[in-house]
Amino acid sequence: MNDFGKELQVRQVTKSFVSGGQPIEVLKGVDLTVESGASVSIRGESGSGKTTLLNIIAGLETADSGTVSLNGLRIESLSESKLALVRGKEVGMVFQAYHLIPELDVAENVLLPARIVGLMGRPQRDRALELLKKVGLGDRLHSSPSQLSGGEKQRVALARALMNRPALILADEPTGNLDEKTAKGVIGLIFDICRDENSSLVMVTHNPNFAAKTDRQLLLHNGLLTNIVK
Amino acid sequence: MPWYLYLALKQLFPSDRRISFFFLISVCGVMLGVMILVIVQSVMGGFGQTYRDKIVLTNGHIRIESGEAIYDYQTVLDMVDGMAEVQGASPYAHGVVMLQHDNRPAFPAIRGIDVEREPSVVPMQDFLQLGSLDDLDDDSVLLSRALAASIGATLGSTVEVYTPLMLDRLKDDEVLLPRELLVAGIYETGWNDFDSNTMVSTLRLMQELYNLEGAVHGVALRLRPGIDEAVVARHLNEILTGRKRAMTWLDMYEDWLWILQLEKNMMFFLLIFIVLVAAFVIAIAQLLTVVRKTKEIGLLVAIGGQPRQLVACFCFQGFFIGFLGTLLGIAVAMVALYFRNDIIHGFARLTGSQEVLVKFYQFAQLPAHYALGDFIVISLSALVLTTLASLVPAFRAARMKPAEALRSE
Repeated sequence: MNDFGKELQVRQVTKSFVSGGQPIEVLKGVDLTVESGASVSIRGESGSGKTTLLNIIAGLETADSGTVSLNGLRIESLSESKLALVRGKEVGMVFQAYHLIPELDVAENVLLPARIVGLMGRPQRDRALELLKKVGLGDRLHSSPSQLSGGEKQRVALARALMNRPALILADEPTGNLDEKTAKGVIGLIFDICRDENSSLVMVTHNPNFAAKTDRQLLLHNGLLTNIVK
Repeated sequence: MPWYLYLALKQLFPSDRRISFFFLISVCGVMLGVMILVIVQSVMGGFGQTYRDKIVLTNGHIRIESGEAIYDYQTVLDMVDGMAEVQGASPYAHGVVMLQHDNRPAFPAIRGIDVEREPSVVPMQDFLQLGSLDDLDDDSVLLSRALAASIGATLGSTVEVYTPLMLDRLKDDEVLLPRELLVAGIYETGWNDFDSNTMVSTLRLMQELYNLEGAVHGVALRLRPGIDEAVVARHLNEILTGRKRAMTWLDMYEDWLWILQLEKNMMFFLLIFIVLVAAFVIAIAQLLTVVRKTKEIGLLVAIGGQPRQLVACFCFQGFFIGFLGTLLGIAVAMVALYFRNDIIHGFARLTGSQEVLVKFYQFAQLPAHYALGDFIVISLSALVLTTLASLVPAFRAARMKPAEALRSE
């Protein structure tokens, strides 16, 4: 589906914050490699730096040291505009809180990433419809986000993340706001669609059952990533 | 359409058609400011235009004077009559006399006119409310309505005229006999400067009263429509001999016109504050929006948006509010101006001030002049102020760190 034949490589990434006048080292040299089409889950305690790691991979935060390569591009060396383009085309993000734009209807929310990267036409509209059908919202194109349930909102957010056929999906606790039954449905969709689209997946979750569905399970503890043997 | 303009419009006009209250308030603020500015500037322009028209109507476009009596005025008349730009020329003499009727004295300015030539420069016949210009001869005068009222004279009355020359005769112990003249007409031009305290006689009578020995004080010119009076005056000044100088009506009333323009500018300066207040409302509304939409701003960056595009998104909203407010303001102002006389007369009837309106402002109708320049200045001011008002919230949005914005509670 896409030509993400390379990989995501995170090398020796460190990040620290200052809290109460004291520096707190959240990431202490994280290494991570994700092959094309593979899925990885990251678990860890609250405040262990999972979201920070995702943000650094997406270029939303800068690491204190270390490198992040995506599709062979060094994220930290890109200009602001180039980085924005990479984020728009190569990375799809799914958040716990959905973050749908309330003034746009369902279809417009899904089409927004395509608009942002300057692609807007019949193929994009067809793609949005196709994705919304996949997530079971083909009949809710013109509904307002306020008319949707939590599960429906997250499915719209998933469709939005996949709009530009990104090579990498970063999902930050995508089921954190959902009940178990709805969460299972959403997780099922994420895995199915990522497989269909051949997108890599890095998912932060607290749920061991959902984490077990990924190819690799990692634990972020004490600022370092370690493998959890299945 | 770029995504940031699309999103800006969507935030103003959401898909579910619930238009933001802040948006409506902001548009109304700009609309009110622009409406008041357009109305006031158009009415002020109308007053100015009416005054300008009256000045030209009662004085002509150009006057040639020398500061002393002009004896060779026929040469001047021959010269200007040969100029294609000149529609008409008429000599005049002017001064001050003492006028008396029924023991009521007045000291009006008097203008002696060439009855044959004057209509080509000043349409005196049109101003006459009583009498006729044909009846004006060397034994009669025309009085302004205000002057006639002040001395109790009317058409057919006989008035006594004393001139400054009679003072010399008094010094020689001569018997002082006033010149008795018949009131042949009463006029009103609508131009206060001319109507308040003036009278008109024939040029010959004025020459006699002032002992001018066939001389005049000046020659008034009316130019053909569309001719630039400044250019003609400049040309005349190059060819006129002696101390004779040509002055346009703009030169003669320079101070008056400057004050008129100053008043108009001051009104603009004071009233633009309404738009400024509306701009503050926009800034506050946009700042609240930025705070309310912190996570959305983070999301937009996360899915490929750039900070400068966020600035454009918010600035465009300010611009659009200004644009819509300006359009509505102009539209409402045009409607109000169209019905201005009905509004004014209705108000005057309610307050019983109709007479006052005519007496002090000399206009039974409220004038309005639509100047394209005024519309452009008002529109640009509103657009610039409202767009600038959005810059503060726009930069605040652009400076947000996306990761922090997404985490914000």
